[in-house]
Amino acid sequence: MVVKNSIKFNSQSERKSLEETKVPPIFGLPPDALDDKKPTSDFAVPIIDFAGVHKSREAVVEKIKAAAENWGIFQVINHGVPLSVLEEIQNGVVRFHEEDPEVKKSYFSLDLTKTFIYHNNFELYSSSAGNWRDSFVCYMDPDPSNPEDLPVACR
Amino acid sequence: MIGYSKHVMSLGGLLFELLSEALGLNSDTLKSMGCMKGLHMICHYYPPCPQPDQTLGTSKHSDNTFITILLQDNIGGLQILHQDCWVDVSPLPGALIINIGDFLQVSSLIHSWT
Repeated sequence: MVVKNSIKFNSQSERKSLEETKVPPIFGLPPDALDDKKPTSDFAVPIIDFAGVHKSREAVVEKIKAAAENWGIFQVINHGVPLSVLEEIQNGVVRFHEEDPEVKKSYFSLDLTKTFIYHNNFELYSSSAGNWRDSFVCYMDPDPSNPEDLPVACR
Repeated sequence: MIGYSKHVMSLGGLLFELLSEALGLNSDTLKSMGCMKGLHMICHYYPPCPQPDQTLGTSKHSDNTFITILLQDNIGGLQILHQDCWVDVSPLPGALIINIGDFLQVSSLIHSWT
């Protein structure tokens, strides 16, 4: 288990210690990261408003068709998931990841058949470069998790 | 997580109906193919990094899903490759990002051949 986030910004000296830390080579940039494709602000990912989906369904379907064909990705607003639910899940995810490492360690696994697993580098087993992130994976369907199987922080 | 996943399943149901219609199919086609059998929640956290120019939070990839419903925080960072350029998916408060995954792309191609 590689600990990336054990350093907290509580004081100047701690901040300095982070600045002096180096990224281990396993997290180095993948060979194709610096290709010739450049960032641009000439385009914007389509935004589709679902507020009218029941009244003018055909118009929404047309927008989805164009976005899926031209982009393969789009943003949806007025999708029906309450803002409070979105905020709560984000807070829960942060709560879990900022838990004591000992708590997180109990969920640490690479066994994808488990309901809930925590890992800080799935990529190391499937690609040449690691990503600077920690993740957890949870199966929610078809076997809805027993709340008891989920960490209290993000249940 | 349980509450959020219920909402996401219901939005997923609507999206598969609309995507079926966009493909010129009956609303239930993608659902009856089993696109909704399975929900996997993946939650990433990007800790502070001492040398952010030396690594990536998430490297270049496509999603091996039918669709991905992504909730991005307000910091952003997601980019997509469009016409050979990287385009920012700017954070939009309250929005959800819908990405067409590899399985749906392949399924729609198979449908257009048959």
